Amino acid sequence: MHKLLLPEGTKVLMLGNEAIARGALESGVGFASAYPGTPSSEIVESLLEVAKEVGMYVEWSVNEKVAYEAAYAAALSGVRSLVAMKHVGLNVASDPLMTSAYIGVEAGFVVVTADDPNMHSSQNEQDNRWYGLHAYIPVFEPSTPQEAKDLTVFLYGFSEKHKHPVILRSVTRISHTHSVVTLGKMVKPKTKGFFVKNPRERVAVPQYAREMKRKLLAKWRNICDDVVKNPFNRVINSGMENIIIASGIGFSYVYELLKTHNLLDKFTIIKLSSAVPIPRETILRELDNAEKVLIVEEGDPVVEYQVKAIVAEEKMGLEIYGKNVIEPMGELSLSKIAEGVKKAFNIEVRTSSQDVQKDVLKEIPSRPPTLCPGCPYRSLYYALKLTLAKLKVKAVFSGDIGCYTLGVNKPFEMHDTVVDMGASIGLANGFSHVLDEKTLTIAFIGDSTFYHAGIPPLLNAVVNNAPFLTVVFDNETTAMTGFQPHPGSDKPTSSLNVNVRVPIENIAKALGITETCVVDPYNIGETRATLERLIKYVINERKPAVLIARRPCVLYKPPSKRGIVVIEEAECIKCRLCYDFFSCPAIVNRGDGVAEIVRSLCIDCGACVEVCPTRAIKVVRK
Amino acid sequence: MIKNILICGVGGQGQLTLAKLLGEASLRCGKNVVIAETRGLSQRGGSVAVYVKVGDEVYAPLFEKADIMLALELIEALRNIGFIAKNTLAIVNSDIIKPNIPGIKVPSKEKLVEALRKATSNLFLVNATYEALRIGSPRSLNMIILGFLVGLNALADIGVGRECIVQAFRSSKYYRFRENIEAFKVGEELAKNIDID
Repeated sequence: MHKLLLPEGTKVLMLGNEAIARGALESGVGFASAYPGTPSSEIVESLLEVAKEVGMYVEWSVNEKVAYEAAYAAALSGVRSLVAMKHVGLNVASDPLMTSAYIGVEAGFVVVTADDPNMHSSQNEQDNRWYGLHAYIPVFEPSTPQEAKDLTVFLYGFSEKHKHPVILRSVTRISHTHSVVTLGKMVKPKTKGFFVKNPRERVAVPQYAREMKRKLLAKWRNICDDVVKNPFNRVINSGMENIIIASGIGFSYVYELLKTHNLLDKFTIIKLSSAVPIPRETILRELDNAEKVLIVEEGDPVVEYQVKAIVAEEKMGLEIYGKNVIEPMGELSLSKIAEGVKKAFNIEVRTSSQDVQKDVLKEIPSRPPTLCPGCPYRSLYYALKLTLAKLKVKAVFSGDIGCYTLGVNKPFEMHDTVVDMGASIGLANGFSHVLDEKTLTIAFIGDSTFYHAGIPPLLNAVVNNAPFLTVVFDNETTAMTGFQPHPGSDKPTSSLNVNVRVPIENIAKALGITETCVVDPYNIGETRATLERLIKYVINERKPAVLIARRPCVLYKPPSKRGIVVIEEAECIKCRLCYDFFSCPAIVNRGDGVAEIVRSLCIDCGACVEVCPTRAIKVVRK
Repeated sequence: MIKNILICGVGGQGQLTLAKLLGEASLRCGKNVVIAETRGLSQRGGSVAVYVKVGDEVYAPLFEKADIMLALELIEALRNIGFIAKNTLAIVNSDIIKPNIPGIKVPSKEKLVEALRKATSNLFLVNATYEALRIGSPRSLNMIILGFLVGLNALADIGVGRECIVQAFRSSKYYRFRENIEAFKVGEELAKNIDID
């Protein structure tokens, strides 16, 4: 039986994201959608695995905005729904987010944002709790995977009670933490709803929206009152002079630190899961006797600013500490909080971080993530590098987000900008107009990213005549986040289990790109010839062109083996091309310059054969 | 009492599987467990560190001092030396995987081991890559390290015994039972035959 479907009362080792998914199943959610993004992907991924069995609808949408809107429509029609995304995904979905607060919902609607403090797998570490203040949407954050599940169940009731969307904010160390979760009761999903026509409450045109805003402000006052009753907020050891307010995952660190050092009786801890708005009455009651307050939260001072606002409004005289004593960057840690406790309360907490080895070897080489052995992107970068050198063309590489972003590293160093999903083609629309005509603009975009946000900027390039080359790195899956399907994949994107493929070349042609070519990047010769032709076209005709380099990700679909790859030692001329310029991790310099295959890494794809000038690399039939 | 176990290595070596087995075993022994993982971008052949905390009451996902380090690769053991104290039990695969950087220079094995010996008086070097290749199961080197840990009976003090680990193995087909249990036993044997100097 699937882990997500185990009976009530079972204790299961669960990922935070799976716990959120189970929470949705315990709430009778009938509709779930998402665009994959670390650290959020496993929520909808695991729901999709069980969708058929429980009878709910689940889909991978093309981007977060569409995912949000689709799930929102379900909630407007009386079907409980969930939409999940990584923190930066909510930027994409921020347009519907803002106005959905004006319009509200019929059935419970939970928006899950998985933030990534420390940027383990992201371009920034924005704190999405700000969106709550910005949009008048309450934000809740769990302290453990168990609470992530229980809170999800609570939030469906909360959302329905107020007819309002809610945000569940997770972070990497909740979403990607396994811990023991006790399961609750499953509820049969309701998948079909009814839409009640009522333009005054559903159509945000100015004459109706003004009334909606008035109602929203009133609703917000009710929500502010109601979060005081949120059972996931808790006061431990009430009435002390020293107070620690610990929100979300901050509570887990604070509680463990104080407990292991027998300091629990020295503080009042206000454990918060309501990060926006904070429970005003609860906090006021405790602050009344307090002298000092320390606020612990992962990310920006979102709770801290709200506490300071209350203290200012009530003209209370007490010392407030937060991000001034706890480093705001990155993730929380036990020693960061110990440091904060020392600075705020002058209480020394000795953590075990003081016992560890301090002399770290300086010469330990870094190990950045790298394109896998056999990755078709390596062959494509290699072909492009050679083509540009041959044509003596200077280029600016407008990059994007996916495995191919690893091209920023040696040996290729072919990524000059990375901003957001789709920005490769977006920025190319500007670069190609303002840079001198001798500098070629090349946009790099992955297949999933193209479907997500590459289509409007490519259309823009056509109608505004922006002369640049778009290179699509098409490996037929959303590889970086764990092989989720997209509109070009051979796997169904939803629980309806129907596979409809829309190839990128069809889209490019329909947008008006007359020069659209598809190549197999393993065929380096053909790829170079095609690139050469397209580059000359862009330079001479001053028009956009598209190259699609298509070959499945080798982890997703290993290439068929034609034999074993070997290097004939006698034929190797120590030119270093294969290990220093093509740079497959499965080929190394054995010490004297001769190339050597690393058997434990080589997948025998043979992509390197064409790279060797003396053909010393061979595929030998077994 | 909380036991902090740091599992480190190169993306793709099976840190997550190893951590999950430890987690399942702990759950079966009635313990609480929190495992903080590295996923996504860092898995593509980059450095991976997974934090496993086992105890009766565990809350915070991260720690700063490891009671046990399980390193699946030697350079990665050194990268995480800041988690090691004098009494840390370090079980380290002696194999080096060179980072995929053109013209990379890597410190010698002797130098790396010397630095580890300075950091902890409780270091065990295991030739796990070699052993895994020898039994024709290169991907099971993580299980050799786990077997070594259990062979040293290093989890007995928190009440996680061998039976729980074997039960965890059996709990899921996902773990390629036969292959992994064989590697696990190889690790156990290595630990039992060790000369304490």
